[in-house]
Amino acid sequence: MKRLPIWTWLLGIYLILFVGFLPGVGNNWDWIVPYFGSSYQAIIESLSSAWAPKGLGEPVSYASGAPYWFVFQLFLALGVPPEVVIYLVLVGLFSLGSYLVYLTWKDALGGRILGLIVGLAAMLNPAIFYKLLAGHLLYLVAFVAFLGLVYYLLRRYNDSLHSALTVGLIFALSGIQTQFFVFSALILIWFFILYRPRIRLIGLLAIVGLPILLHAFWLVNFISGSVSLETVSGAAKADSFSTLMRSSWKELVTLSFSPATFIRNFYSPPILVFSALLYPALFVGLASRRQLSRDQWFVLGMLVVSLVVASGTFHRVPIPYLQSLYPMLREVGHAAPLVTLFLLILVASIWSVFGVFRYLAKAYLTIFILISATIYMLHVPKVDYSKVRLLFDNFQQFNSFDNSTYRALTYPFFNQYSIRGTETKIRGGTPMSNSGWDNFTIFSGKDYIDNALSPSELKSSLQYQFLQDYNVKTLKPYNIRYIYDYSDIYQSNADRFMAAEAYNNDLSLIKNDPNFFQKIINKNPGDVRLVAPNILEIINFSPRISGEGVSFKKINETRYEIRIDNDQPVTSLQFLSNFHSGWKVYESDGSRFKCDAYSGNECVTNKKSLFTGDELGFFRKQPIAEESHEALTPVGNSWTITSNGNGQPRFITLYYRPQSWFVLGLIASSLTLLGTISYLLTTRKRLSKPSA
Amino acid sequence: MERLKNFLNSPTFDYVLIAAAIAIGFAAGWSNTRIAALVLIVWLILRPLKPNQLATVGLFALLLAVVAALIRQGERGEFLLFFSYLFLLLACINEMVNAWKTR
Repeated sequence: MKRLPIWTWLLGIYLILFVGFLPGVGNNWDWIVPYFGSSYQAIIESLSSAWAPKGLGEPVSYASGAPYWFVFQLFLALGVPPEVVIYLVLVGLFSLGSYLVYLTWKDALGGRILGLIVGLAAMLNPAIFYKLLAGHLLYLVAFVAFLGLVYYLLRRYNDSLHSALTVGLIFALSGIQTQFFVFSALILIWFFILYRPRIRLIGLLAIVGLPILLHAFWLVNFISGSVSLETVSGAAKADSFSTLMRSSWKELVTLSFSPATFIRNFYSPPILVFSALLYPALFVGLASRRQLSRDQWFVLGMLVVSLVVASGTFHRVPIPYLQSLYPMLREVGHAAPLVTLFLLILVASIWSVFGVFRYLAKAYLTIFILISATIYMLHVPKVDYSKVRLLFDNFQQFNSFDNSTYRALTYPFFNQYSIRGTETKIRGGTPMSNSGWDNFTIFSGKDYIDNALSPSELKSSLQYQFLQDYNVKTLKPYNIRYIYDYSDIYQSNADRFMAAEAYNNDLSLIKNDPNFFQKIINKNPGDVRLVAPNILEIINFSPRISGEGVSFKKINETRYEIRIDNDQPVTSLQFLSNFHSGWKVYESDGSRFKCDAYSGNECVTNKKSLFTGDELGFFRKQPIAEESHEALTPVGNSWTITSNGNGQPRFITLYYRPQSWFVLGLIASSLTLLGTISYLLTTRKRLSKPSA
Repeated sequence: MERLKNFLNSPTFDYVLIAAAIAIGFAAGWSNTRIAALVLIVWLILRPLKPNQLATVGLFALLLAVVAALIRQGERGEFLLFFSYLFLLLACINEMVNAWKTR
């Protein structure tokens, strides 16, 4: 009987192992996935914009994962339920990851079986479990691409341009999780130092240039001034806490890594000691061998580098210029899967040549895999998406009914949230499941006030101020039209993640108040009304754009068309989004301002043009009223528009100019991708043609 | 030029580097243990041991770390684990130099 190919075995193993994930996984820590299939529109809107609607509006920053989301939304658009997409993504990633490790190391490990076992162990281990627990799906995509890079470098690389372009392409793919730009760069440097392969200048340019061009669509945000490296690094630094940035050497040796990974909450001390046997096995193996193969040196070098990153010790050694990248690597758990991978490969390859110890290595790794497989099945956080959809059905319907431009305030404030009716496992006072982001609102396609606040931000937050007196005047400057009460669905766990001083030791601010709406109604008679169950409308809310004789139409997140009646002067044209110098006002011919229905001063339409086709034209256009652009308190932009004096309706465009750079970058990325793939396909055909 | 090359290859230059390592350690206000560790690293790069010898020392440090953990000397155990890591690092640095020389 013909033997089945290894990849079918792997696919079968993961299809069965993850079958419990089919009703849905997530709602824990950083799991960011939509519950509704129709959310794909919201994803496209966010991806196509240099100005994301999150919070009070902000330029895109960590947008490297856009290609992943693009593929994800394609599946949703085809009608596949989100929970099935996630299941398929996980099965695909884990199978491919294991298969790439198998392909790379099977010969060095002396056979199929040990190759298969190491391939499985590379994906079924404590470090990858942490990634699943935390919902770092993007990381897993990048990790598998990284495994592909290792495979290609060690087994397929030659000095041709075809080869260099392939390396550049995989390097770029791994960069969808920005940390892997660093990890992949390190592995390339180590590869070129150790193997000294021949490389032509054009090949080197391809390896370095291709990832930059392919990521141009978001990297241009740094050129356009939309965001700065300091801001992104600063934000990353502000979000960090000490347990996230350090691992002790004991934690590294036992594969439990930094306390923030919570691995030790699932892997008991005897299992951690069992995992720690890998280190003595490594040292004994190295001590008993006079020579290591080049491939083994390659792995050992990468293990040494990964250990430094995973320990966080590099934070203590400030290196000029490189130091600005440190916050990107602040989460030392990101290096955990790499440490585990290189350690497993090295130990298995060293011991595979020692006769009876080969069987011992197989037995050890099989137990290692079985332990993790059991923990995956039992403890990867699950949530039934179909039930969650029912809970949010009312809000989902309401959102599709109102197409005007507004922000929503959602209660309970302060994430993270547990979904009521779903089990929450708590260990050491910290939720280990069912405690995550408000994924319904994130993917609702509506603008909302961000409830993800750090402890230091809490007391100065809008939500905190509102809870002091329930006066809706507090909310007016923020373009908030609706207050959604999710109390029947969510319970905040913010008190479990911050010190009691952060919320004045007053749990009533964090926990659900059954009289929340009643208190608002009592405090603001005539100013609010209940428009649907659990949805309160603020009457006379402040529109997104206002001014004397001003009406507006939202084209997309980065563009608004504005009409000024009778060309009258506007002393304060107000735009209620975060202040950014990238917002500019231009003269317009009004051709896009065709209107059938109004809501207040807004021309409402359910059609949104993600791209208008004339974005690049804004490079040539001169903005008007530039000198009068100033920040509003507490939030917003303001301009003074003088009259041209002709008395006719006047049209102007409010545009976020970095969007033009974004579109330019998108064109560059798309053309590069198309060109590279075309070249690779044609040269592959040419190579495979028999010579005459 | 030839004299410079001879000097760089001479044991005297090795001693200069060792002295420089000590000076850097003092200038940075390091503890004696850290300075000694730096000197050891520099020395082992200048006069490399074979990888299996380095791994044996690393293994010894690893076993001592286990003993330290058993007698509740966690901090010393941490240092010993770091020490065992240093020997892996040294082995890699030596191999890197070796790969560069033997192209």
